[in-house]
Amino acid sequence: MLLKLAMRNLTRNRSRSLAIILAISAGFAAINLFGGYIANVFSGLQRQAIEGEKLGHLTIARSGYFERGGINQEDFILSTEEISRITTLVMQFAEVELVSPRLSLSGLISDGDLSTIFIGDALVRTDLQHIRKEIRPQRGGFLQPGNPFGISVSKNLAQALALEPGSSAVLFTSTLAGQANAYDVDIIDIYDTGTAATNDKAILLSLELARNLLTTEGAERLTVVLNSAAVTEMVKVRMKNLFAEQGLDLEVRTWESLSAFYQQVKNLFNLIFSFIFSIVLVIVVMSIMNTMSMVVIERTREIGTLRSLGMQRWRVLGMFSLEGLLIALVGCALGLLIVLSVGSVVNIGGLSYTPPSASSPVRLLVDFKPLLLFGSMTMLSVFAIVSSFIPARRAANTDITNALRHV
Amino acid sequence: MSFLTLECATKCYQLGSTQIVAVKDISLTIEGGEFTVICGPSGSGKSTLLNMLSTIDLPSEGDYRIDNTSVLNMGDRQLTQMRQKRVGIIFQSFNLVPVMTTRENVMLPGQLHGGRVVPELKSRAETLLEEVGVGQYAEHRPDQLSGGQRQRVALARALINRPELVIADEPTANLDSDNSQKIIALLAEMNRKYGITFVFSTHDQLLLRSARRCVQLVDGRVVEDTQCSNKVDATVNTIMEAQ
Ligand SMILES: Nc1ncnc2c1ncn2[C@@H]1O[C@H](COP(=O)(O)OP(=O)(O)OP(=O)(O)O)[C@@H](O)[C@H]1O
Ligand SMILES: [Mg+2]
Repeated sequence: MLLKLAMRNLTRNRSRSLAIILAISAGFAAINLFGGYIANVFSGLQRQAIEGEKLGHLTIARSGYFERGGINQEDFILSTEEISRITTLVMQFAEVELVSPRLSLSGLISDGDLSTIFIGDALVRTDLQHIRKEIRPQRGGFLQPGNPFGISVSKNLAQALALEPGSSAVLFTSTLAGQANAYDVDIIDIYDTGTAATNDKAILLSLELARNLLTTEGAERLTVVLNSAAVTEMVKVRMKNLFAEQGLDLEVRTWESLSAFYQQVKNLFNLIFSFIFSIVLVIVVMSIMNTMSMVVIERTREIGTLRSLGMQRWRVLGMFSLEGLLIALVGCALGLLIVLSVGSVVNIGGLSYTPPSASSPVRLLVDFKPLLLFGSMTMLSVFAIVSSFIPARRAANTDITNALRHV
Repeated sequence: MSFLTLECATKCYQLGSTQIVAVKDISLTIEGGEFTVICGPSGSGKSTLLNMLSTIDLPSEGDYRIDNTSVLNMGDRQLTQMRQKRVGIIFQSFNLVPVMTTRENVMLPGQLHGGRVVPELKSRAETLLEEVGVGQYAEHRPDQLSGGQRQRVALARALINRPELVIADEPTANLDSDNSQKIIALLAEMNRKYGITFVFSTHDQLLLRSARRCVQLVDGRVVEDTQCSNKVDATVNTIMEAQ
């Protein structure tokens, strides 16, 4: 009966109900469209970090490597025995698909006339495709299984030195012991790193070549690829425990903690999202409280009548809270329609934009997140009940004779 | 033991710094099945007295007992429940719920209790609407009815829970004299038929004559309390014959 009353009362003042329902649906749509957009960005960035930046899901290295490995590389090199022991241990996990040793190095690259700085990422050639999962093949970045001296050069670096596939160059580095070293290399491919900051210095080379350049047999870290990104944190904890049990002084990091860019973007977007969410909440709370206060004043006589006919206080309270809740639910339902239709139009429309520090345009897409949709609906409903509670309580506590005298 | 007993009841209202005594030191007993009218000039305290009798207001001093139980000892929950079960109220301006149909309005006090015998309630509401003469308007909204029809619906609503007491504050003030007489005749008929105790107030001299007992108020005090037997039946009969 209360529900029927609440529903009929909503339709009594159509234009006012419609206005507040539209406001709530707009707020709900704003939350979910933006939330869906950033969910899409996050999943894109996650792929970009794990596959594009070739971080894998987990990285294993000697303790302290992540802080000081860039300066004292030689102190953190894992020997071949250590690598095979760790690999055997880690491969016991059912979730682990691949363990691949990695080296990074920097030096000068020269085409004979000009030379410039490079930062090299070295990996096992046959593991490359597995780590990258063929992400955006148009961006390139291949190594030839048959040629350990073939390298892939980032596109702005290739442009600066006028390198193209087929040409050759020289890499100058210092070995781990500090001696100068150089190798002739073949340019196999030009690639796009995806970020403007690295597109003028990154090169991709084989682990054998890097080992020769640095004169080492080992590797500085191991990249672990899992069968699902969702289990990353769980596997990391289990791995750490296993290493501790085995007396191995190793550290394990997730792709998320290694990708500074992902962290920054995520923090920024989460901040904007919380901001939008709080604005929407404030709007919802204010408008419902305002509307329900008006409703309670308008219906003072009715409240007096119902109370004198024997309606208990809690029922009056429930009646008006229910009306507030109903407004929120209808608003959310309408908002859901807006989200689905606008989201679909955007996704089909194929809009694209170039985010700051990205090297190429990205498609603007909106993910539909059931959890977010449901969560924001629950949240708005809870706030709707809370904000209609104050006017509703005033209604429940009205003095009956005064309410009946109200005109 | 009387049904309703007011004992030295006084009701004061605080209006800013001044205190208004609306009803002063009234002692009144009403027996079960009585048909009583409260009269008096405007501002004499009729509404205040009826509000106390229907327990939507409590005396500031003195006592009010229903079946020898003091209402001052009851909490809001208990009073509300008692009104719902035992008291029917009719208002001057009908006070029907605008978003409900006539039948739903009549059923409302039955549903406030939470007892879910809806089909039984529904047929009872229809019987009552028939009885007060608006049976064909069960599906109408209050704003589609005339004043007289609305007050009939309000009467049916007051009777739905088979109350022992019905309080009506100027139930005919918004009606023309013809409709007024019909409503009062209906009240009298219900009083005779079911033995319900009726207390109502009015300005109308014509209606005053219909009551068996007339309590006259001036300035919040009872100045006259007259019993005149058989009058009501005579009036009802004349009205019935006129119809
Ligand atoms: N809630 C209230 N607050 C302040 N004063 C009140 C209140 N209710 C009644 N009064 C005062 O108490 C006195 C009696 O009022 P009451 O409404 O009982 O008179 P009445 O006989 O019903 O008058 P009428 O015939 O005009 O309806 C009046 O002076 C009125 O102003
Ligand atoms: Mg009055």
